[in-house]
Amino acid sequence: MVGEERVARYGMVIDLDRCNGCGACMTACAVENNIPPAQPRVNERTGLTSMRVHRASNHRGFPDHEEVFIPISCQHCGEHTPCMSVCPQNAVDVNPLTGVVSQIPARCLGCRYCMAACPVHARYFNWFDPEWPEGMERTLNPDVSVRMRGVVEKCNFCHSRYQAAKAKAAAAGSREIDPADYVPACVEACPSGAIVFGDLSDPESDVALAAKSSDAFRLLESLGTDPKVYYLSEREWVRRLGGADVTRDSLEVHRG
Amino acid sequence: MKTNVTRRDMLTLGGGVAVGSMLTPAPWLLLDDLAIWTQNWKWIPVPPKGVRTSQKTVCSLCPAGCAVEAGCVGGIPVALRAAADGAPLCSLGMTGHHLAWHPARLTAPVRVAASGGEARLTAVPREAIVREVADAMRSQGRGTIAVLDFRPGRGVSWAWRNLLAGFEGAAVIPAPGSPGSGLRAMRGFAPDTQGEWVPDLDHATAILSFGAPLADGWGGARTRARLMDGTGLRLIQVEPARSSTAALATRWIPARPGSEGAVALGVASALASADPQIASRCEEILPLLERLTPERAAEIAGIPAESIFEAAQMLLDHPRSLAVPGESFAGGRFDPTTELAILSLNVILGRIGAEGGIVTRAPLADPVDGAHLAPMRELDETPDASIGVLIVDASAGEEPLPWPSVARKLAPRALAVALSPFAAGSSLHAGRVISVPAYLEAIHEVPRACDVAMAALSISRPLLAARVGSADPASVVREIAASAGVELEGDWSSTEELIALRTAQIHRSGVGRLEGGEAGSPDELRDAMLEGARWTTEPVYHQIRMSISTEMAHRLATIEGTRREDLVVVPRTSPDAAWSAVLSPLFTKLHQESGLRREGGVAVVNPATAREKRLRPGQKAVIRTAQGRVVARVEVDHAVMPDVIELTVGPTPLALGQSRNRVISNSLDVCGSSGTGWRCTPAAIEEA
Repeated sequence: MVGEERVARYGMVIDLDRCNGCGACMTACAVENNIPPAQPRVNERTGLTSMRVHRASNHRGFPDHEEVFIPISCQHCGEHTPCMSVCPQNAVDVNPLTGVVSQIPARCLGCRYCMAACPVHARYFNWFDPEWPEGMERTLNPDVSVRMRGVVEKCNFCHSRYQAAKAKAAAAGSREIDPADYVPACVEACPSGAIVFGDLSDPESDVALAAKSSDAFRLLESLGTDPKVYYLSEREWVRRLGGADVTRDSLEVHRG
Repeated sequence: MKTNVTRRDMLTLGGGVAVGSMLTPAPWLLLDDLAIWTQNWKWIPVPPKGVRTSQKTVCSLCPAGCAVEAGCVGGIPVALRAAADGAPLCSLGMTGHHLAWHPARLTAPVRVAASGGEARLTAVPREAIVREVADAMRSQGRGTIAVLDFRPGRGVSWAWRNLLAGFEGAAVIPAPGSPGSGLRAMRGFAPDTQGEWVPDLDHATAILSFGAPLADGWGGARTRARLMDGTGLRLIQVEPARSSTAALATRWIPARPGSEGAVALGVASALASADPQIASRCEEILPLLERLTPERAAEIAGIPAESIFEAAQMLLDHPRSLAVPGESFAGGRFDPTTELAILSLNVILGRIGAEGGIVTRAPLADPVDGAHLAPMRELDETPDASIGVLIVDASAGEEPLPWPSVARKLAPRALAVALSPFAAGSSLHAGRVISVPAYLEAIHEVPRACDVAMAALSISRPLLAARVGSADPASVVREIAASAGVELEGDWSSTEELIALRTAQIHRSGVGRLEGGEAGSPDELRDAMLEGARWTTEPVYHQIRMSISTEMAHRLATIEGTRREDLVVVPRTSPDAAWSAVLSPLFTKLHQESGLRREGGVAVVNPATAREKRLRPGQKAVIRTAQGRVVARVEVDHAVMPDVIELTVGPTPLALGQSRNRVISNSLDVCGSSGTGWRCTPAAIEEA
């Protein structure tokens, strides 16, 4: 407990055997968080995709070739959060009530130390001013401000939705939010139901139960940063990808 | 006491202030403030402010007709979500509210002039286009009249048929691959059947699927959910690539593209050998099946014969089994002979009209009963160089279609006019385009596609005001009729009125039910549907004995001569790009800013094919087919079958809203041959 509020530990479990790489999570993330479309010169290294679906394969020839799609966003590290450790501006914040790692663009000076520190390259730099085709700015989400060129941004588990859920709970005279009211956009959008979100510290929650599965693994767990995003797969070669290096401009997660 | 202030003292003070200030919040506040100030330039877009409301509608971007809850600010939709208890929206549905502001959006009728592979647009009054069409229709000097309808089954589709009814030889052509025309090869078995033949996938327990993208939504949400859960459904997927459906299937059979008909007949041969009753149902083709054994079919398809025996055994073991020819998102349907071979499996198994088999779906009520209607005719049944006036109705969406397959049907000096909200896709090939409202700007009907056994109708309610300069498609029909001197039947002048007439007819018929609402009167039915309720019917099961005719046997015999091509090109696209000529610019996330999806014009080959053809990743290559040539960027991927080129058909820079160049060429244009579809085309490839 912090004060009178219960401390949650929000996290995600992504079932890679259900993910078919449709990209709905990426689109939903961009719509929800007012992430601008790419300008012509933007590429995989300079793009803004707080949620990015990577492709990896078992490197075998046809027809034994298999692929897996791995949605990677900020892993919301719980220990020694690397991006927070290196930020000279205190622009990275770990909310003690939720465990969510957030970026504060207003404080960010754009030094990009955090991007170098992030082991899964889940932080993105605004290389360009945000632009939408004429008139389309009228469709922006009013709950999220637009970030300017020169700052870093990343997944914050849709913080505006957390705030909305808190406001709704407060209006009902409660300090506890209803789990159904706080669902990040990517989770809501997944047509396969591959992403489960919730409070990992609640042992009865779906997300906590799924995280304890023998098929669960985390990315780069050996670094000891206690990521709060778990992955599930029944395939052994997919689970081995948890120890692999993730690169920004590669289509694949390389096997370690 | 020292009273003189020296230069050293001043420097000490300055140094002290500098060091001391570092121990105060001042410099950090200054940095913070600087950061904040420099984030609020006037050119940074500001999210809208205003009264927040929530509106219900239905997504009309594809035939699934998902119920949508739109969050609006100041009356403008800012977020589209699935309605409560509804299936999540796809990427296309989530970004549908962007399309009204797409850079390719047309806000006035235009004349299109092609030059150097690009189109130049000139504004022209709508009345001039309408008059030109009406004059050409009256004189009929150029050839017959046809409407190419990308969304058949709507009230406006009925209006086109009513308009053309008085013209000899005129017909409405459902765009190949468009929803609404059902499994057309079934018409050969029962030409007089009312309604459409559709697969009852939801109630089948075993499916032999020939390329049906069930995991991507084809076949409805329930079949997809059963596939995802892995319970209660056995699926054997015959497909050249390990698609997401193949990955979830009980068994994937990687048959060579173009060999699906042979595989189907191989399965039929195994069934006939295993069960004398089945053999008695296919007497006309027994000699063919004796020659085209499972082993021979396996050889043609490049697969083990055991796969074919396994598929046959699955169909025998499950009383509610089904063989279904699926649609490819870029390649459309199978050619009629392959579709016939696949559907013949259901005939010889006695699965026609049975639960979980191939069933008929009741036709939707027309807005006006007993009106005179022009016939529906398939594109490949239309004689070449016969159409003098072509109206392309892409007002409700547009699927990938190689334009040469349409252009071949046009007479010299033919007049082609498109109705479209966008300067993209087919409209760039038509000489004139009448701008119509985009999604959410006008009322749209959403009849179900041929992949679901239940007939259904939803209504998409407008949430935005239509742009000035865009015309309601139904009123365009009225204007053309008035100018051509044709009397239309029924009292209507707009799409809204056509829909009102139709809902009244549906209510009067008493057939079907309203999902998510009740209606005591036609007005209540329409109002409930405007709020997102869907009218639907349950499939009716009535088992029918059918047989394969001699004519069909002759057609099926041509499959025996299927030869293995050295190299074939197979078009590929994503489900979203299959339904709309343009996509939201946010699709750059998938196509440009990550490697999740390939953009259009990429030739993907197996490493073995790349070695053989001396191709390197990233280089340009020329693909030649009987239809023409296209230059594509090469990618090498183990996921592609050897001797197959997967040619991506998808968003171009224009489609993502980044280029003002209106590029006419489409990689799909090299696919296909006369009359046989474009799923698989013999091709050659070489370094550019």
